[in-house]
Formats: sequence, C-alpha cells, structure tokens
Amino acid sequence: MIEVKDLKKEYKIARKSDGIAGQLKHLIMPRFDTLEAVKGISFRISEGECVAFLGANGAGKSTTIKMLTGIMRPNEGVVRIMGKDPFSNRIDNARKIGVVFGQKTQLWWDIPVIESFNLLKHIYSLSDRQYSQNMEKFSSILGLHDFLTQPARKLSLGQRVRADLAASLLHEPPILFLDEPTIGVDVTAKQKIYEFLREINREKKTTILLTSHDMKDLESLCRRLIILEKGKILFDDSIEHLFDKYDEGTSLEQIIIELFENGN
Amino acid sequence: MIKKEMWRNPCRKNIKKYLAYIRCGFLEGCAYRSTFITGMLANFIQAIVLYYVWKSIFAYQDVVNGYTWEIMRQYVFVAFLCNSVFSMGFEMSIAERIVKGDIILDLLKPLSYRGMLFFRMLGTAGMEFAVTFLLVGSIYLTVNGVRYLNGIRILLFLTALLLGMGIKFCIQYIFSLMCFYTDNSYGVTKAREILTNFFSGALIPLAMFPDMLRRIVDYLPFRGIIYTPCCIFIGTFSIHDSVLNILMQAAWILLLSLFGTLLGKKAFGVISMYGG
Repeated sequence: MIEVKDLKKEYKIARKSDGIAGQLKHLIMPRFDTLEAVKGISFRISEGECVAFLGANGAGKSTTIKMLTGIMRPNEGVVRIMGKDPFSNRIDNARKIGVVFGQKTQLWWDIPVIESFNLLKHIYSLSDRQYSQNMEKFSSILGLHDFLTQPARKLSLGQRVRADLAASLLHEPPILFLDEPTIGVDVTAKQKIYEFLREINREKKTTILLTSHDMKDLESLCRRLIILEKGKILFDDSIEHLFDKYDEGTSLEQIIIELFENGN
Repeated sequence: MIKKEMWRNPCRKNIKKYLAYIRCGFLEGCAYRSTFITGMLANFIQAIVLYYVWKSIFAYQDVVNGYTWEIMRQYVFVAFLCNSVFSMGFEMSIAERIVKGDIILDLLKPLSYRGMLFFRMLGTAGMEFAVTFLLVGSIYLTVNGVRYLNGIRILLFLTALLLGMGIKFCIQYIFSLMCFYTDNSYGVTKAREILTNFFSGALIPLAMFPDMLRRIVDYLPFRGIIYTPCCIFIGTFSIHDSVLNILMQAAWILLLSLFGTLLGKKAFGVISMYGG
C-alpha cells in the first residue's frame, strides 16, 4: 500500500543573527543553512494497517506526511502510494487518500460548513446515495448536526477538527493520513474520533497513518509504532514488542521518554 | 454509442466539479460583500475624480491626443467597469494562502490548481460583475444616454471584456506564484495592481502616452484588459481593428497560460513548509 525507501528532505533556513544589526546583515547578504528534516527513512505499510508516527517536535513527522501525500517533492528516495509516485501523479493520488492536518482546515472559512461538504461531493463525483449515507453516518458519530449551517470561522477548534475529519473521509479513501487529528478536542469527542477511526479501519480496511502526541489514544488504536527522532527511524515494530523490551508495568509514555533520552 | 457515453461521462463529471467551485466562489463573494463594496466604492471615487479632472481639462481644450470630451466621458466609466472585476481582495487571499502554507490543502484535491482558482474567481467575479454592471450601466446611461450604443460593438465589447478578464486572471496567477519565492503577499499583489492599472489604460488612455512608451505598451499584454474593450466600445477602433485586437487578446491568453503552466511546474517543486 505505502512504500518508502531512503526518503530524504532538506530545508533551507535563513541564518540570522540577533538584533537589528543581524536583521540588516541578512537583508544585504542572506545566508542559509540546510536542515535535514528527514534523513533517509524506509518503511512499508500494508493494506488495513493502522500505524502511529511518534516523535518529538521537529522530528520530521509532518514532513514525511507531506511527502507521502504528494504535495512536497522529496530531495532523495522513493515514495510509492499504491504503486505510484504521489508527487508526479498528484491529482490521481489525491483521489485515493484522505488527509487531515489538525492545524489547518480544508473547510471554507466564510461559508456554511455544509457547503464545503457539498463541494467535496462534486469534487470526488460521489453519488447522491453515497453522499447522504456518509453524511448521515459521520454527522451522528461525530456530532456535526449542531453546526453544519455555521461558517467554519465560527466553529470551536474541536468542532472544526471533527468536521475536517468527516470531510477527509467523505470519498471513502483507502488510505488516511492524520497529522495531529485530536488537537484541541475534548476528552469525549476524542473518544468518539478514535472509535470512529477504529470502525472504519475494521469495516472498510482503511489504511491509517497518524501522528499524535497523545500516547494513550495511539495505544488503543494502533498496533504498530514508528518512532522518529531527528529525521531517523528509532523504532518500527508492534507496540507489544516495544513493551517486551522493558520491565513489566512501564507505561508507553515512560518508554518513549527513555528512548528519546537515549537517542540524544 | 457505448464509447461515446464513456467519453462523455467523465467529461461531464469534470465540468460539474468546477461548476461547484463557481457556486462556492459566489457564496464567498457574498460573504465578503462589505470588502467588495468598500473596494468598489474606492474605485468608483477614483472614477468620479478622473471624470472631473478630464472635464476640466477639456474645458480648456477641445481635443487631447485625438480624444474629445464626448469620447472621454464614456471611457472613464467603461474603464471602471473593466477594472472592477477580479478584485484585489480575492487575489490577496490566494497569495496569503501560499505564504501561510494553506495552499497544501488545495493541492490535496484531485483537480488542477489553476482550474480550481479560475472557477472560484469566476463565481466571485460573477457577483461583483452583476453589481458593478448595474451601477455603472445606469450611471453611463444617465450621463451619456443611448445615442452611442451599437449592437455589433456591444457584442464585440463583451467578448473583449471577457477575454480581458482572462488575461487579468493569467497575470494574477503568475504573480501569485511568485509568492513561493518572495514570501510577501502584499508586495506582490500591489505590484501587480500598479503595473496593470498603469499599462492597461485604467488611468489614462494608452493613446495619450508618449510615443516611445506607447510602442512598448503595444507589445505588452496589459492593454488587453482595459484599453482594448474600452476602445471597442467607444468606437476609436474600427470593426476590423476590433477583431484584430480580440484575436491578439486570445493569443496573449494562450501565451500567458503556457508561461503560467511552466512557472507552476517549477514553483510547486519548491514547496517546503517547515514545521512539525
């Protein structure tokens, strides 16, 4: 389903010294450092798997997801989504995936949320039946009914994320990428989201790859864990295997902290 | 028969996709109505000021570079009409989406990015155009009456006006792509606006430019946005010239969209939003 081999991505970041003098100097003679965000990672995810991406801030999780979704070109390495390169087949690839970036929204800011959904129906050429069935199902599980007529700018963060999740799944993509999908969501809504994800993973065999900082939820949803640290894969196996390596009773949180500290 | 059906079906679906964007663009335009109205008012005040400046100029002189007051008082209003669609506010929001990185959400849709923008703009522009057309049309008629109107010219004018919007869109698209490199949405859109206002004839008819400058402007695409439709409407172009100019507009659209495609290929390769 997803194949990644020796994937690398570098960013150019401006090197500025402090203060006004530093800013002025940069204005005249800009200097850039290259920052290796992803340093050659490889993995494979098969159909119906649910994989969690874990890593400290700046470990390269989002960068990897952006390359997998075909919006960013890798510097080196190969990505294959269902056998094809996502960057050069962007439009084709977009039909097969659903994506949620918890920090951004695909909903239209100033028009009612329902219009955004209606637009998605046309973009993905969904039949009336498929559309109303999915809308009905998603609205009841995620509790969207209350705010469908509101414009997105009036929603709370949690409501917005729930609507975004429904929007990314309306066309029933075989692969789902979630970058911090539970950001700003309250505990009960979070439960609903994870139940919902479990259900589509089981029913439709949707392959899910998600990043989150919420370990308890990851534990309940995913069997496999990929831990990234400074652009490299530190661990890639089932959660049970990770627990096996440590004393009984150690929580996932403690293990992660220990891993990161050793990694440094 | 079956083959034909197969070919038609995906095609119709594709069109439906983009039509849905017109609807959303229209709704968005309505949601931004206060932005639009203030923007239009600013433009309109500019048109009124120009109207009176020209009026006082023509009080001293009957003819300026071949333009009489009779022609000029039409030109001012028609130029305003041509300039008021595809407004700056919309362009700013597109540019900002690039700078902020929200453009990745647009790229995650199974559609051509430019096509999506075009139809979305068309929806917004449709709203703007309807309002402006009514306003300018009624003012034009009170000032000038129906005596200058002519069926064939109006038809040619509308064609030129539409093609002019096409040129404007191509230029806006190219400029917005520059945001991938400059990270400055305001500067880029402002630069675009000033360039088009000056070289398209929005402020001064191009015929009044100094000789040298006029020859340069003739080789730029901007004249197609305002000067061409204006001249067709007020009759400074003969019918033959009008048709030639319309063909030239079409050629510019082809050329500019080709350039936009090439630039787009390069620009989307440099997307590198840092974070997370």
